[in-house]
Amino acid sequence: MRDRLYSTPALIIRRSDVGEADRLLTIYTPQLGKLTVAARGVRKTSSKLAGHLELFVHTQLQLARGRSLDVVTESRVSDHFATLRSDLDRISVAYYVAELLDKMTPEQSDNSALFRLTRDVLAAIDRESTTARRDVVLRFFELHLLSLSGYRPHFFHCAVCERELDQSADRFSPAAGGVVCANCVARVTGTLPLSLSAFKLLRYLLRGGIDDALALNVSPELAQEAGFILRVALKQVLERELKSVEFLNLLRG
Amino acid sequence: MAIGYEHVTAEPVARLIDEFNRLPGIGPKSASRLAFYLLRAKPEQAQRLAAAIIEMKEKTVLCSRCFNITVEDPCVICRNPGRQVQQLCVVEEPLDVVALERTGEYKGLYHVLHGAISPVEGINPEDLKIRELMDRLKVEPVEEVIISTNPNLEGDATAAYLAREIIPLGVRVTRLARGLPMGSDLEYADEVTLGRALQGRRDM
Ligand SMILES: [Zn+2]
Ligand SMILES: [Zn+2]
Repeated sequence: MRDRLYSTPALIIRRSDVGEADRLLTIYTPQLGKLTVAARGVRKTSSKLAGHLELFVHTQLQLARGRSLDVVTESRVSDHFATLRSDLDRISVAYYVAELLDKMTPEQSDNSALFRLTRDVLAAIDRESTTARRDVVLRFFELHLLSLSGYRPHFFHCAVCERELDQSADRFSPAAGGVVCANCVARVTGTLPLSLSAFKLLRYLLRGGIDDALALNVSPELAQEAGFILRVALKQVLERELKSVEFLNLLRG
Repeated sequence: MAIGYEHVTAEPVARLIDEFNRLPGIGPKSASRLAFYLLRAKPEQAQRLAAAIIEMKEKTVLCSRCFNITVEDPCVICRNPGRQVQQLCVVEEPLDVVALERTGEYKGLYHVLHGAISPVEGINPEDLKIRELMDRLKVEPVEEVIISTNPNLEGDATAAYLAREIIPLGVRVTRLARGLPMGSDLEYADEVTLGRALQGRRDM
C-alpha cells in the first residue's frame, strides 16, 4: 500500500472557495505535474495554514491521500514573493503566468522543467524593478512554456520546408507554428510581419536561459512586438483568449 | 450498471436535491439530507421556507448609494443622519458590513463592491461597483476611504487598484491593519481583531 502522507514542492497557481471555509487549490509540482488538492478550513481566521497557501507562493507541501482529492496537511513556504504581491503590475503579470501554465498543462503530467521555469519566472517578476525588464521575463516564459509543452516555435528552420533561416526571413505563421522562409511565404496564408530585431530577440531567448534574457536591454516597443507574436502563437495552441489578459492590458493602458 | 439515486428517487425530490446542490457549501450528500428532511417535515414548515425565499427575493434590493442589501432604498445606514459622511469604508460583500458593524468601532458610511478583482476568474474592475464608487467620491464630501477588502491576494489587488484610482482625487486612502491573518475571509474575523485592524489602519 502507498503511504498515506507524501511531501512535494509546489507552486500554487489557482484557488477557489468551496464549502463553508474550504478551498480547492491548483498546484504545480515537479514530479506530479498539475494537481487539484483540498485545503480545509483555510478561510477561517483561526486557520494556521491559510497564510501559507496564498496564490503564487512556492512552498513545500505535505499532503494526505484522499478518496477523491488529496488534502493539504502542512505548508512550509520557501518563497513568498512579497514584492510581487504588493505591486499591482506584478500581480497582473503573475496572474497571467499562472493562468497560462494552468491552461497549457493537463492534470498529472509531470514536467519538472516546467516547474523550474515557472518558479524562476515568478522569482524574476518579484525581483525585477522595471516593467520593461519584467516584460522580457514574460516573453521568456511564453516562449519556453510553448517549447516545454511540445509546441516549440520554429525560429531556426523554416516552419514549412525546414530549410535553415537567415536574416531575410520576415514572416511568422501562427498556423505553421513559426517563421517561414521567403520561398514558402506564398504557400501559407495569414502570416504576420516580423522585424529583424524581434526575430533576433526571439531566437536569442529561445536558445538561452533566464539570466541571458535578463542580460538584455530590450526596448518596450520590441518587447511588445515579440509579445504580440507569442500571444498569437499561444492562442493558436489554446484556441481561446486568456482571461487575465484583459486586466494586464487595462493596467498597461 | 450501477443504479444512481436519480433512478429510484421521485422526480420532484431529485429536482429539490439538485437545487440544494447548487448552493454554496452544500454537496450532494447534504443536499439529499435537506431534501429528505423537508419531505418528512410538516407541510407548513416547507411552506414557510418557500415563502421566506420568495419574500427575500421580492422585498430586497441593493441600496442605490452604497449597494448593500436593503428592504428600503436608501438603506438604514445611508439614511442615518448620525453617520459620519467624511468616512467611507469599502468592502467586498454585504456580510463584511455585518462584521464591521458588530465591532461598534465604525461610524462612517459603506460601499459594497460585490466581489474582488480576480483576473483568472474574469472578474475585472468593470465587473465590480467601482465606477459607482468613483461617482460617489465626486459628489460626496468623503475625506477618507478605508479599504477593507479581504487580506488575500484578490483583496490586496483590489485595494492597490482603488488606491491608484482614488489618490489622484486628493482623498486619503487607508487600508485595514495587518492584524488579520493572510488568506482569511473578513466575515470570519472576530470583533476584537477586526476592531483593532480598523483602529490601526494605515495610509496607502
Ligand atoms: Zn521554407
Ligand atoms: Zn446604503
